[in-house]
Amino acid sequence: MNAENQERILLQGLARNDKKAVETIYKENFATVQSLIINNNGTPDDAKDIFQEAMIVLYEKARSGSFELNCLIKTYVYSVSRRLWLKKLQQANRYNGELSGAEAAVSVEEDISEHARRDAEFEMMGKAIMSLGEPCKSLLEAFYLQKQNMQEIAASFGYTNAENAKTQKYKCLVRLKKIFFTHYKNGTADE
Amino acid sequence: MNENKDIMILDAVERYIRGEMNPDERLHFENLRKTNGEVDQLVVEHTLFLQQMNRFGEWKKFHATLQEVHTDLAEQGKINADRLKGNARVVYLWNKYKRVAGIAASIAGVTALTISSLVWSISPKPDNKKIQANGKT
Repeated sequence: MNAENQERILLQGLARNDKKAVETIYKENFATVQSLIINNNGTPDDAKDIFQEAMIVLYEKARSGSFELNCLIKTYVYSVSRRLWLKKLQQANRYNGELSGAEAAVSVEEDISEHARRDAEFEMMGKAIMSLGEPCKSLLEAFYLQKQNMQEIAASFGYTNAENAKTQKYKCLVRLKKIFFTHYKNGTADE
Repeated sequence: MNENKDIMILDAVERYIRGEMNPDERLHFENLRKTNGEVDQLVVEHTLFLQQMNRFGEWKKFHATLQEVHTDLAEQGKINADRLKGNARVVYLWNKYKRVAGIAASIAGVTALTISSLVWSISPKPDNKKIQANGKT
């Protein structure tokens, strides 16, 4: 019971992007995934990439409100990593029929495809923001991502007053939304 | 002029969603939503967009946390980022140097054959008669 509580606390911390929780989960699971990847034709860099992607899948799972994994964090991270690596090998045509190491104990297929969909959306958002160019990119990032207020932004960007900065921000926002919703519609139509 | 009007509406929509309107203004805006379908649609669309922006920001932050944690743990020696241990290290090195090892082994093989054939070809042939003669005495 105690261990179960501890796992739940870790997942709640993870959902809040709490560094301590991330560190604990990282420390306890990295080595297992690393040996899995290395023992199956991967490099240390592959191991890091796959493990971090599995951590993101776990993060999204924790954020979706379902703290109930129905299995240990350890089992989940291992299963996701194994599935992700298998996919990567298949894509690169380097898959030779089987992976050594324990089988995945839980089915994670749905979570992984949900993750892939979300990842594609975020990539799209990142690209849309990049394509705005400066100062739009930094202006929007400062307000919507770093949550600075208009006074701070006006001062740091050198606008004479917050009102002008705000108008400029909205002009940039209109451009971003246009790009985003065009891609968003195209993106979902493709599926 | 039209652009300014658009920006004013967008500003109102955003302040409404972020809960930055005073009660009077809010009530007024809610009535506008009910009577003006376009404004209503804009609220729905912008809410979706702001949610997406928020999630995107958090996603980026989480990526950054992962990088930080990885570097920290590697520096403290709590994970073996590039120095692998035990079995994993052997397997990794073997995979990495499999080709080199193969080439080295075949060179060694060829060299061994060459030298032994060389030794064989230049060594004096044993004299059968002499051996037989020796055998008799």
